[in-house]
Amino acid sequence: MKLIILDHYSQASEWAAKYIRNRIIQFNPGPDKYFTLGLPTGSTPLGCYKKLIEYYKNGDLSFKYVKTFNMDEYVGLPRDHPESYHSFMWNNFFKHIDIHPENTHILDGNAADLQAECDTFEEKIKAAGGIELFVGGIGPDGHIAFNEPGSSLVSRTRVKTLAMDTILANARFFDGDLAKVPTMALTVGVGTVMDAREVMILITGAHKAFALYKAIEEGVNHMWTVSAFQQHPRTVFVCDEDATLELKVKTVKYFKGLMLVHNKLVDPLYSIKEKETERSQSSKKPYSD
Amino acid sequence: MRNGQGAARAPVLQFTNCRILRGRRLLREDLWVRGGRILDPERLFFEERLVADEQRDCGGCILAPGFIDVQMNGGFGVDFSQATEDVGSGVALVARKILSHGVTSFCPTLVTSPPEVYHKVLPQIPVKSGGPHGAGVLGVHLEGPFISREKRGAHPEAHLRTFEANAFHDVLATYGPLDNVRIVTLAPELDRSHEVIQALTARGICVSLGHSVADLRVAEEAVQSGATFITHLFNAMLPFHHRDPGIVGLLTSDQLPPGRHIFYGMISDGTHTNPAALRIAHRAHPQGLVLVTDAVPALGLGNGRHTLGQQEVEVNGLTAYVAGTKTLSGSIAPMDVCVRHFLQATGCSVESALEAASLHPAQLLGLEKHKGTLDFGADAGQGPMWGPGQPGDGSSWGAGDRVRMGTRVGSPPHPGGLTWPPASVWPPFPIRPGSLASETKPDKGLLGPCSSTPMAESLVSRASLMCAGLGHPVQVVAQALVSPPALGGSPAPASGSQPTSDPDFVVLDDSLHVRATYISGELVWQVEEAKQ
Repeated sequence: MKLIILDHYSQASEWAAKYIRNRIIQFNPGPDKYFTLGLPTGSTPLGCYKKLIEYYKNGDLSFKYVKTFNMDEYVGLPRDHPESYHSFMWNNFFKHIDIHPENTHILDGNAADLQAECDTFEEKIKAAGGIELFVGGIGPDGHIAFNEPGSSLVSRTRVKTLAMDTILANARFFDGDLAKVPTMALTVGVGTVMDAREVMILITGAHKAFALYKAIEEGVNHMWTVSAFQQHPRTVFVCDEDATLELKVKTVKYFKGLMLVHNKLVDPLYSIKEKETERSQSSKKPYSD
Repeated sequence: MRNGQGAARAPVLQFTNCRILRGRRLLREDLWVRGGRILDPERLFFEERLVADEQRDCGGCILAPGFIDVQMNGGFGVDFSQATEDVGSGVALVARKILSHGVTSFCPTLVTSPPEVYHKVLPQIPVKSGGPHGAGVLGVHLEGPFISREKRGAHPEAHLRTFEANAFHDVLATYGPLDNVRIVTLAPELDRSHEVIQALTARGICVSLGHSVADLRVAEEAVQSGATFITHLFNAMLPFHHRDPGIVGLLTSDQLPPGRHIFYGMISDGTHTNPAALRIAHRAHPQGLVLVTDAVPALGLGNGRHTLGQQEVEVNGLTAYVAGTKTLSGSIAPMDVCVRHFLQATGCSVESALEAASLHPAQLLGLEKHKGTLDFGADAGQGPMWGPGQPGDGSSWGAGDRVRMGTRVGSPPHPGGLTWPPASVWPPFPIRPGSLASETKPDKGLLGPCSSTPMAESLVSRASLMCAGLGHPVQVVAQALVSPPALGGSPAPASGSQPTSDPDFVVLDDSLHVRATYISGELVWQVEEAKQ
């Protein structure tokens, strides 16, 4: 596991975006070789999306050969409702970049047969060759996607009933009216994310500090589903200082000491503008543990 | 144009790097157009899984709904009130020329004329969609002859009329068939005017008050009967008096039917309305302000001396004088100039200035679902931006009624004054899975039958008429002092609907100079330098 600690939210977002950028460019995707990217919604990844959009607009990065799979979507919320994750992805990411709609995948919370929709989603991931990099965020209760506390750590994509904590937290997006907040969602399972070849979790803010502590300093526990990634061979946690408040000084110091090494993952920062020259100097290998 | 089958296969055009006027705000958004329709890009992405076939970089320009001029007497040497055998080609010439002013639709206006002129001219000016050939004709504006003798201005006294015993019958006898008529300006103090107002509004014709000595009470009664507009506010009406503010008082009247407010035309050319008067009106009632050019045939002729009918006119910049005198000969400021002057004179926002020339006239004519806005349909939940409680807000989501260009129904075009988005709440949760997307989308339902049917173009011979005309009556400038009163009207909520605007728009630079004009998503005019 890597724990990347940056001073502030903006730096954490930028680091994550740079990492995604380097991973996509190094993968060298093309018409026969798509980079598969798992994507989250919520406020945490917004800064990261902004940076990725900036890279695209500057001509440094293209999503032409990227396939995306989103983690979750509410059940029964109209696709074009401003709080739907379709709308979120459109407004905060897709409409700004060159991704082809055929290459984006978001669960349909209005499908007639919800479980069939979930099964199809798993099939689509499989057909795309699995997920290369799954980016996620977590809730203060340590949930990854909508895998609320108590979810099976080997779960697959399915319908989930939301925990009251989540419903309460979401009420602010629905005029503060609890009755309007969706109570169910479709979500990838913990197992689905575990299958990705690499997982990057963004955790920022003091309110997520306890969850980060539970994620990395305590044992694997289905009450803190994000802790499952302790068992994943390639996990990167990217956080800000505030999110480390509940960690041991020893833990923080250790990982901060590693930043010199970890920063080599995003420095040098690759660009498709230099792709050709890049290929000729194939010696530039990023750090890997 | 509005053909569902064709539209599905038409290329998707994406205008990028622009700011769109949408819901009172200039948004950094792209405008997506296909087959003469504005698209919801999110739906295109998620439902049709399509991307744009062509992207056009707008260079950071503003995309505003095409301007609508509801009062225009002529221009480029053409006088619409001139009874010739070929009025059609004159209208067509003006329609084509005003594309460069950003005007995408207009109401050719006839001043007081003898009945035979109406009978001859009106059938020759059919309602017509805009296109590369020129701005759309929304219907004729008849200014007179049922107006006040005292406030007739330059209208010929000999042809003024009153409503006789048969009221509306006399109107029909004077004008002939009203099929091509969109607005009638009359003086409400004339006997039996209420019957006439009711009969006209029942036919979907907008009644405007003007050239009148009506006091406020009479004006209010006229509005209660259905009148919705004031023709060139301050001009040709009683000056504002604090014990009887006259027609001007309608701007802040509390005696209007609930949910209604009045619209009023303003000639914002820097000459015909003193900037202070413009500010007074705007501050008192911004959401009712409709910019009109009230242009005369000298519009667009350029500096110098011109012969218009029997009148010699000296044009100098934005003013036209009766040659050799200092008598104003009518307004000749193009609409885009009026918009810029309005912005500068009132210090209002760019958004407000643009809406005064687009959204407001569209609302006046009950066309706001298709014109005066650049919306792609009232997807539930997008409402908050238009939140209720802001009078004059982009009400394009609202219902209004079913009046469309060329397809008028038998109800007043704008029964509810401003209309509102349906409560802006997405359907009650939970929604039946899968059903919503297909059922509530406007795309399919609005296709086909809405298209305005251009009537056969003028059948008469295409005799030249470029310089015909008796010369337009001199516009009389009446300046009145008004003290800003308190409250404006408030809009009424309306039932839901899924409007989709016509992609008629004007591309403007930051100083609001027109760079290009589009009708139905098609480029119909652009500045010379852009052509290279």
